[in-house]
Amino acid sequence: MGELKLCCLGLSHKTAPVSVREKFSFKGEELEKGLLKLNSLETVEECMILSTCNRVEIYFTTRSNTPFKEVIDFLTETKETDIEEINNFFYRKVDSEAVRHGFYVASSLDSLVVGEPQIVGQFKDAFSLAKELGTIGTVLCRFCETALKVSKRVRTETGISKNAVSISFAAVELAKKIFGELKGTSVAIIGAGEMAELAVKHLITNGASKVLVVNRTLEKAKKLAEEFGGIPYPLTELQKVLKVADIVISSTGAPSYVITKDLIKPILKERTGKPLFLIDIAVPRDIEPQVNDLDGIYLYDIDDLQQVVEANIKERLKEAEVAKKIIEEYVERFLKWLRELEVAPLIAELKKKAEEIRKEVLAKRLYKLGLTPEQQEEVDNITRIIVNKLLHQPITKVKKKATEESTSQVVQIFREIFGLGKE
Amino acid sequence: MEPRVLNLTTAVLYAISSLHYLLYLISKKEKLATVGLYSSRFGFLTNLFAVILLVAKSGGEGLFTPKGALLVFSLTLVSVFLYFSTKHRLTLSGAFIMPWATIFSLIAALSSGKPSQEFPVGIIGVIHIASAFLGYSSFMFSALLSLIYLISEKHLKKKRFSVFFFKLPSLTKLETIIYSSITLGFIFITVSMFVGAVWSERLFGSYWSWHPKQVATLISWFTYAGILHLYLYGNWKGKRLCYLSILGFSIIMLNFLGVNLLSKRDIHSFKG
Repeated sequence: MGELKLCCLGLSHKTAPVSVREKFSFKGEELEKGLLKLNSLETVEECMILSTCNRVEIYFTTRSNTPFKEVIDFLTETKETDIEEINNFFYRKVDSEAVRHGFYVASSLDSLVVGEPQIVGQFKDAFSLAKELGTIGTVLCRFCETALKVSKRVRTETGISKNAVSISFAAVELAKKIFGELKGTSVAIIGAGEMAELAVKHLITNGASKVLVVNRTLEKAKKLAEEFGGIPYPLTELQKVLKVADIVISSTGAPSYVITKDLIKPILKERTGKPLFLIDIAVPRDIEPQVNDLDGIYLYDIDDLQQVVEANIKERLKEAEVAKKIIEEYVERFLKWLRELEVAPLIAELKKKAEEIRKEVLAKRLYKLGLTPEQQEEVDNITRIIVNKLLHQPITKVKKKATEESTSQVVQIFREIFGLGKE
Repeated sequence: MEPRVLNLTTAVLYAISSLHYLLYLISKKEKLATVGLYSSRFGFLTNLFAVILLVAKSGGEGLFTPKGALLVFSLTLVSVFLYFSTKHRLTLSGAFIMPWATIFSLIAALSSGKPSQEFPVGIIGVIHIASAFLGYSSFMFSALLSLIYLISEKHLKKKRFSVFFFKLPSLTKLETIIYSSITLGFIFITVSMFVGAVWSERLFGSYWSWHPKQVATLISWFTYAGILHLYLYGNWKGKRLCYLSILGFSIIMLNFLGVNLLSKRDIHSFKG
C-alpha cells in the first residue's frame, strides 16, 4: 500500500472535440450509477465526477501504485471504448497537479470563456451529489470546500468575471456607461434577428422599461412587439421612434442605410440633448457611420462591439494570472493538510503507546515508594510531562517531513524507529 | 496645539490621499481608493481644526491672510468632494480633486497667517468668506467633473477603452452631478454676495461701490446664471454643459487671481 494520492482523470474542450466530450459525459441516472460503481472499485477510496458540456473529470483518491488503471478500466467498460481513445483525449493529474487543476476549474480559469460563472454551480452540483451518495469523505470534501472558497475569493478579488465577453452583454455594458441605471430607458429594435432580440432581452432584464419595435411591415412588427410587450411601428415612422428612443438596435436585411445623418439631424433639437446609443449589428450596415460625429450620438457597429469583447477577454486573461497566484497559496496549504492527515493515525498510535508504557511502569513501581496520594499524583504529572516533552520533537518533525518527502517512506521509517505495528 | 502642526498634518494627509487616488487610476485595487477616502476624511478634520484654531488665535481676521484663505479653500474643496463622493460613489474624482487640496494646504503651510487687517471681521465676515469659497469649490468641482465627462465621452466616441474608462461613472450621472454642483455653487456665491454687501455697508457705509471685486463677482454670477439658464431652457446638455462649466470656472479663476491676488492691499488681496 502506497501513500494517499488525489488524482484527476479528465478531458475538456482543450483536449477533446465535442463529439468525444458528448460520448464520455455522465448525466442524470448514469452519473449516479457511474459514481457508485467507481466508488465500489477496490483501489478507489473517494470519488466524484464533474460532467459539463465542456468537460468530464473524475476526481478520486487512491493508495494504489498504479492509480489510474482501475478508473480507466471503468471508463472503457461503461463507455464501451478502448484504451487508445482514453490515452488520446484524457489528461491524468496527480496530487499538486490535480489539486491545482481542480481549483483552476472551480475558479473558471480553465473555462472556454475564462471567468464565466456557470462552472461554480456545476462544481457545487457535482460536490453535493457525491456527498449525497456518500462517495466522498474527508479528503475530497475538504478539496471541494477549498475549491469553492478559492473560487469565491478569485471572483471578488480579481476582475476575472468583470466586463462583458459577448456581443449582447457588451452592448448592455456600454449602455450603462452612457445612461447609468437603465431603469426607465426606452429601447427600439429595428428589424429582427437572434442577436438583436437577445440584446433587447438583456436590456430589459437590466431595467429598460419601454420597447419600440420597428419593422418593414406593421404585421411583422406587431408579432415581435407581442413577444417583448412593446409597441409596434412601421418603418415609415422610424423618425418618430428615433425622437423618443434612448437605445436603438438595428438589424435589418436592407441593402443600404436605414438610418442616415440626414434623418437624425433634424430631430436632435427635439431630443433636447438626451444621448442616443445606436447599435448596428446588421451586415451590410444599417446606419451611416458619419452619424457618430453628431453630438450626443454614440454609434457602435458589430466590429466595434467585437473589439470591445476582445479587449475584455484580454483583460480577463490578465486577471487570470493574478488569480493563479491566489490559487497557488491554497494548493500549497491543501497539500500540507493532506500530508499531515497521513501521519495523523501514526501520531495517535505513538501517543497511545507512550501512554500505555507510562501507565504500565507506574502501576508496577509506584506502590513501592509508599507515597501519599498527593505525592502519587505529582509523580503521575511529572511522568506525563516527561513523555509529552520527549514526544514533542518527533511529532512535529514527522509532520514536517511528511509534507516535504515521500510520505509513505517517512511513515515507514517512523514506524520502525518507534517500534509501532505495521499498518 | 500649534496651527502650523495641524496645517502640515492636513497637507500630509491630503498628499497621502492624492497619491492613493492617483494610483487607483492605473491599478485595479479597490483598497487604494479606500485609503484615499479615509485619509481625505481625516485630513478634512485636521483642516477644520486648523481653521478653527486660526480664528481662535487671531480672530476672523486670520482668515483674510494667505494662510487663512488657502486653508479655507482646501477645506471647502474637500467638503464639496466628500459630499458628492459619498452621495454618488464618485471615487474616481478624488484623483482630480485631492491634488489641488494638497497644493492649497501645502502653500498655506508656507505662507504667513499674521493678519494685517484693520477692519473688524466678525461673524459676518466669516460667513462671507466661507460661502464665497464654498461657491468657488463647487464650481471647481463641476469643472473637474466636466473634464472627466469629456474624457469619458471621447472614449465612447473613439471606441478605445483603457483601464481608467471602466472606473468612470456613466455620462448621465456625471451630467446630473455637474448640474447640481453648479447649482450649489450658484447658491453659495449668491449668499456670499449679499452678505458681502451687508458687510460692506457696515464697514464703508455703502452696499455697492463698484469695487473691482464686486464687478468681477457680478460678472461671474451672471455667467453662471446664464449657464444654468442655457442648461435648463436652452438644451445645452452633455458636452456643451461641460464646456460651459469649464468656461465658467475660468472666469472665476480670472476673478480670483486677477482681482484678489494682483490687486493692491485691501480686504480681498489676502496679503499678509
